[in-house]
Amino acid sequence: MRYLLTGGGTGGHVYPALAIAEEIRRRQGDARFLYVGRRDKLEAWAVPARDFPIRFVRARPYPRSRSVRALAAFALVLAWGMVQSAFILLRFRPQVIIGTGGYVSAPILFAHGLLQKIGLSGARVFLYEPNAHPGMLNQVVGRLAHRVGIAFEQAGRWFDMKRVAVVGYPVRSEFLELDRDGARAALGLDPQAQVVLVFGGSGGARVVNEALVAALPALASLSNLCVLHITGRYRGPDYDAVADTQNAVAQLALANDAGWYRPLEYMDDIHLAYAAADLVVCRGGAGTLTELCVARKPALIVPLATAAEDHQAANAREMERLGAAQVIYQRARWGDGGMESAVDGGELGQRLQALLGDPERLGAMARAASKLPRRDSLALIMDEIDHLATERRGAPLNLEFPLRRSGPPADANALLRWARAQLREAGGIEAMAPGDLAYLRYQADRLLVSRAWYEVPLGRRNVGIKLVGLLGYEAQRPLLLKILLDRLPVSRLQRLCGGDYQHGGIVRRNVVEWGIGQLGAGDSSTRAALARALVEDPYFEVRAASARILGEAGFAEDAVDAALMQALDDRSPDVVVAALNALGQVGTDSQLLSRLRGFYLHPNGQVRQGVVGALARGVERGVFSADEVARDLDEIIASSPHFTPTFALNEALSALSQQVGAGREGGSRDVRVL
Amino acid sequence: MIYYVGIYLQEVFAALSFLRLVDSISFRALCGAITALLLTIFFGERVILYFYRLGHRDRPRNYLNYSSVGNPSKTYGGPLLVAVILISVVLWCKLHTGFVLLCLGGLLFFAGLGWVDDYLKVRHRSSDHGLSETAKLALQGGYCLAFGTVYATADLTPLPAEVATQLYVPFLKYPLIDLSWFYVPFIAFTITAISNSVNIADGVDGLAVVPTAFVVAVFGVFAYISSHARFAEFLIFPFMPGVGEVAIICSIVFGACLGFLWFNSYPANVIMGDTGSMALGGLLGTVAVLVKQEFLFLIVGGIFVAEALSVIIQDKIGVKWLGRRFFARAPIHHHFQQRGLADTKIVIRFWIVAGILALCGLATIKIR
Repeated sequence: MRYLLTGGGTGGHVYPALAIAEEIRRRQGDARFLYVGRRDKLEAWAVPARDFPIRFVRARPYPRSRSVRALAAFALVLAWGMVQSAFILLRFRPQVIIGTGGYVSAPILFAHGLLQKIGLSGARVFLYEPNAHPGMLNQVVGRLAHRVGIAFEQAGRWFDMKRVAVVGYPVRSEFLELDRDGARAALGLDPQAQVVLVFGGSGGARVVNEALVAALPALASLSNLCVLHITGRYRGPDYDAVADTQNAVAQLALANDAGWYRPLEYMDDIHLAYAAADLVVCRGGAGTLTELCVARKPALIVPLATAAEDHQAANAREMERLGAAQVIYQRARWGDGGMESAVDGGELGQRLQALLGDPERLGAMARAASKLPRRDSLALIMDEIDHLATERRGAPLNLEFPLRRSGPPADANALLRWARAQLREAGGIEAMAPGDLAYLRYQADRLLVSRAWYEVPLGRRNVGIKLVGLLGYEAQRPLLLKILLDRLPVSRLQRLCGGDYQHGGIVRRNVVEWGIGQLGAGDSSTRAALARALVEDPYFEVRAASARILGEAGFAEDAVDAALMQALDDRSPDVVVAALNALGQVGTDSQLLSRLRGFYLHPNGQVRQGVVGALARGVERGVFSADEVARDLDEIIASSPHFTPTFALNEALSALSQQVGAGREGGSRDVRVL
Repeated sequence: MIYYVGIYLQEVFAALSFLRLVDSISFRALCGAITALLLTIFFGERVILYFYRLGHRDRPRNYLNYSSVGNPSKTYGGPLLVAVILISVVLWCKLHTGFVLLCLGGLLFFAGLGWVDDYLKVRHRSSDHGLSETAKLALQGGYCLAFGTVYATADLTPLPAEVATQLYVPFLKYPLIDLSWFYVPFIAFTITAISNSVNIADGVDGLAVVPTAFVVAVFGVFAYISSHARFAEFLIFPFMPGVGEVAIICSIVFGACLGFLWFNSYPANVIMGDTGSMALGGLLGTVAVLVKQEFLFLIVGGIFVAEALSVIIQDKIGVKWLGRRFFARAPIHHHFQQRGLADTKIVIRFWIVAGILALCGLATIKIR
């Protein structure tokens, strides 16, 4: 038999393929294999290391942005990859194709689909989907497959139900028999120590590495602790996993005489590390999580925020719901180069301390974890592949897939509506379960970091800002203020056309109106930032919104008062009106009344209305004396182009419709004047 | 129709020779305008009530409650406007001429498109669920390309073939350039743009009809001059026999607009909706192209141009590209509403500007 394996990019896709291939080789000595992958990814060295031949094709992930250029590049690369794949298929002539997902497998499967149409490829296709949410390309490729094996039942919704089989995740056989003491001995660890294993998936993870290093000082105080840190071998233009971690640790100047912190580049026998660990800090890929469960280890999961369809957070939430793990989310924060996503080291330290100090909890989590996975996964997959190879039908399935989408929608605006509905369902922020609220806030963080914002001025970051306000996400208030006062300019052409900063005017206005407006401007640093925006922001809506929120804050320092007074000279009437209203609410300046007098004859009726409102509020608050204001009344010009006619019939109809409760359209009825 | 009857009668009966009058463009133009005006006024009330009972009512978006009349829902009366124009044209024009057929084609196609849009809005009870922008533009563009092809094909065009693809510009006596087949996309763009700009301007009671009336009045004069051999020669216009029918249509639209204003003036009990505004816009665009005064629309239709520009600047340049607004609201009349001006004040000021622009347009007859 000739088997063609494909899938890759990350360990989550490569290791299942390798596990399957090794099992086939064990059973059939004469089977021939060919692995197809991408030259610069994990498979390029993991596959030859296990003695399988490999060929390379071009592939590229489906672009997340809708930019035409990205789509065109994707289409070109896919087309070229398909041509390469077609040659590979025609030369190797596989009888069975096993795809384990990831964009790498797309060209070969599409090419097979085309060749099959013209009768040049008769291979049977087995597709394996390790995640709870199939990737974009796997969803499409699912139609070409004769059989689809899935690890999570939820994933079945995206495929033809008749062809789906739930097979679980095939872990390597070493994981099935773990020996804690033996592993500790092999690794040279103290049998009594509490061992924490930290690693970031097959490719390593900068976020996890940096967070752990930041958490080390907090952990140093714990006695009897040992941290096994697998940094990964990633080396890119701006980050080198090994060297950068070493430097950061060296800067901390930790007392490491007992060797409690042990950084490792890479570990081939990672099952030993699993076996030795009492707690694991890891990413939320399906492979890692299954290994965790098979190894019966409690975990603190850091989901990768940029995962396709946010599947890692979905996986992690499922584990959290079942009590097998805890989740710590990546947060948006202001780094050197603008917005970035990171895990707060202090928070990680606290969570680790709390977990390590509670062995009972760890035990409960481990027990919950051990109930989850299928241990016979590989056998099930082999059954499916044998059925395929002999062209027999597989066993019929009896599954009921959940129809309701539980996760958040991908579209940013739909996500906002979804979050609002979640809040309403729970009955407010306070009534919400902490896990759910943390997840919703994590969605806000995800949108805040989104690069897609740069493609459209009002993209997903804008929605993230609204979510921060909606969810009362107090921790991100400094970030909002950063955005408000960010002065990174746009291109010269855009400035010429009236643009100003990278965080465009409407985004800054939303920071004030939706973000700070909802969080409240109770603290003086917020008010200072708003006062600064009121004075120096080039966009009128930001200034107007700042004045409004300052007024609603109910208290003003002298600096804020001065900024509001200064705003009375603004060239935009919106700002002047907002400043007048705000001064009426909070103004205390001794010059206030004489400044207001300047607006009595203002040509704009809205401004004069603002003055009258400010006077009324001022008298209420006792800033002006009633006599003073009474003397001024004759000075205020009362005519205005404002004109709000009332129609008796219309009013009566409105009243009637409210009376009978027929307010279908908000009680407004038509006026008929014939 | 009356034209054919009149010609027939005065040939058969010598006593009815005064019916030769129907051959006169000015006579038929006057009669057409009066017919349209009276038809609208006479049938308007009933038709409005009929549509009201059918539930064809506007559901305006109301972002900040700036509508002066507490957000009343008004009846869509576009079909009334279109029907009146259609009936008057059938009564008074030479229906067999290409000019009339092209005008009617434009009117009916755009009216149909607008009606579908209105119908979807009524059915979904929301102003946000009409035809999508892309669908609208695709349909309009498709029709306009077909129209342009007919227009630029020597055998099909109602215009003299040597004039058809010439580009005329205000203030210049002679055509600027012969665009040949490039004239087709140019026409398509012109008509689509004019149609949509009228649609955009139709936002406050009476705002769209009066400027439309001014524009058709000016185009009517231009059409009349072009149709008259001696006027055309004296004023150095391209002489296009038969274009007088366009003058009659212009005059009919003028009458229909005034009639519609009868009910549409503030506070309106009927609005033209997309059916009316797109139909009027499509017809205006067709007329502008047929009398070869596309660029004149930039002057006489300045109100519409400003409204359309305000939307493009606000939405495409401002919000989509720079992430900011330039106006408080777009189209520009909503900006003034937001700034606190009463609807009537905005509308009448726009009329004044439109009137002045119409006079400027007329001045280009001699200033060339």
